[in-house]
Amino acid sequence: MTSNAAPRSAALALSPVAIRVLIILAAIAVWEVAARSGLFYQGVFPSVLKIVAALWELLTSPDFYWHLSVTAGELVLAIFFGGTVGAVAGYVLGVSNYLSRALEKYVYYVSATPKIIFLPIVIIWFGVDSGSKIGLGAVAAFFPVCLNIASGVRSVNPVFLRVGAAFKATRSQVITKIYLPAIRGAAINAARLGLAVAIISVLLAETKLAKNGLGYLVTQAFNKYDMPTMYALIFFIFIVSVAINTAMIRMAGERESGSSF
Amino acid sequence: MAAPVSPSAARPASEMIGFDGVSVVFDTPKGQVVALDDVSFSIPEGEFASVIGPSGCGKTTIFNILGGFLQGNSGEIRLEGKPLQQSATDVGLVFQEDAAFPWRSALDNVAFPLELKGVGKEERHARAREFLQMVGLSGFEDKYPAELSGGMRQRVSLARTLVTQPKVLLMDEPFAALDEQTRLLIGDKITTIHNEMKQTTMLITHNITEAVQLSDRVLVMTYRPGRIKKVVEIDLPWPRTSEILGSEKFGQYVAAIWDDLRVEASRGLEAQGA
Repeated sequence: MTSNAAPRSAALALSPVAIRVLIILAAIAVWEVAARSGLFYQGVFPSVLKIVAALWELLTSPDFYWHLSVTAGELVLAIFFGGTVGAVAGYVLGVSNYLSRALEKYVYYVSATPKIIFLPIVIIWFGVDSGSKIGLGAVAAFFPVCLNIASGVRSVNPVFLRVGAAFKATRSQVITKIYLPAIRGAAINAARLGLAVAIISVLLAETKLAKNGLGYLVTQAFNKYDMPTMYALIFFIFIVSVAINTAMIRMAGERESGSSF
Repeated sequence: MAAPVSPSAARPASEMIGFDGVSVVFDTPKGQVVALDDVSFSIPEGEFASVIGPSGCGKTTIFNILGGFLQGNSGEIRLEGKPLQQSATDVGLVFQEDAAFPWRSALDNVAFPLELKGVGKEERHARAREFLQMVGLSGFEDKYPAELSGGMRQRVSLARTLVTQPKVLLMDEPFAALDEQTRLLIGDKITTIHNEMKQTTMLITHNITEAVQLSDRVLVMTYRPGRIKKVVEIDLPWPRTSEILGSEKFGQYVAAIWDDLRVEASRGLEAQGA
């Protein structure tokens, strides 16, 4: 680096992190200006301060945590059932060229349909309570998990499997000591995508026919025309989803970049 | 070469690996390819043998048969006098490809086969350490394959196979991807290990120098159909190091083998349309 270049770049360039923070501040400022300009209904475009106040009220009310725990519980069970079945199905499709050619197209096509169309079916099967939310979330999570695990299993270096065979590894040893670590990145990615669609499906199902959960709270706020609370809820859900997603990307990246530093 | 006579062996008395009229035919879209045609040979216990031949001569087919990945169409294969399928002889395999698990440290890679057998952590780490030292990788126990050179990774794979102390060691061009200097130095290491452990070893290679440097005998193969063209016994003194490469007798062996191989290699080149 020459002595000429250094001061110039320091004067002009903001760090990427600074730019990111600025964008958020600008967005808040634009919102606040729009809210106060009088051009929009106050109810539709509430002031940021009102939203923050509503958020604070939510975060300090025990009722909110009850609804949060309902949604979280539904999500955990949805990803557990959908993820387990999806991972097993993905493994089978991954190791069997024959089954993959026979069945994978179907999985692929159905995975592209919006899962909310299955809501009436899961309500009939699992009831209007948490069962249908778990069911819909599980159906949604199944597809990305299955397809990602299948392609992960297929991409495992065949020589690793030959090493396992040479040392007479049992099938379960091959799965736990070769496949699992070898597809770690794909597995975390599968969980990430599965969780993302499960969150969508569970919340969406909660906005339809429900008596509790975050999705229900959003609909309730909407019906009561309580816009600050609705925005606060949406903001909360957004932040939590981004945090989960980021954490999982970090987990996936850790090993791939060399692993041991 | 002390080769103790094994009482269970059928014929010859000290035979460890035996091929008797083994043929392998592959069905390919372009028709049948005879990979091995009536291949017979016998490797005595404790000996180091190399199989050399041009690409496409069926060297790797021999490896795959002995490794249990493939079955012959006809003929008999024996290990310690017993048919391969009924044999309980431990065969250790070292592959051509980079086969060290990238998600395991060098130590845990070597400990892998012991882990499969349920050996406790302390003992398997102690033994893995011993074998890493044997291949010259002391101090690299905690490194991951991504942090090691290609030659080091291949030595990790070798140690991982040796740690099971197999009676028979099979290596399929394990050094093919390495540079010449590394290959020679690893060759010295292989010789030292073989002198120490005395396991019957079969090395598949296309490198004449390597074959002569390491082997008691060299099996020269023909291009398709794969047959044993000649068996050359290498009568050079042990212990050998790569310094032997300069000797006159070494040169004569290399030249003699190349003489046989040249014809086959050019046939291979022509067949592949070069």
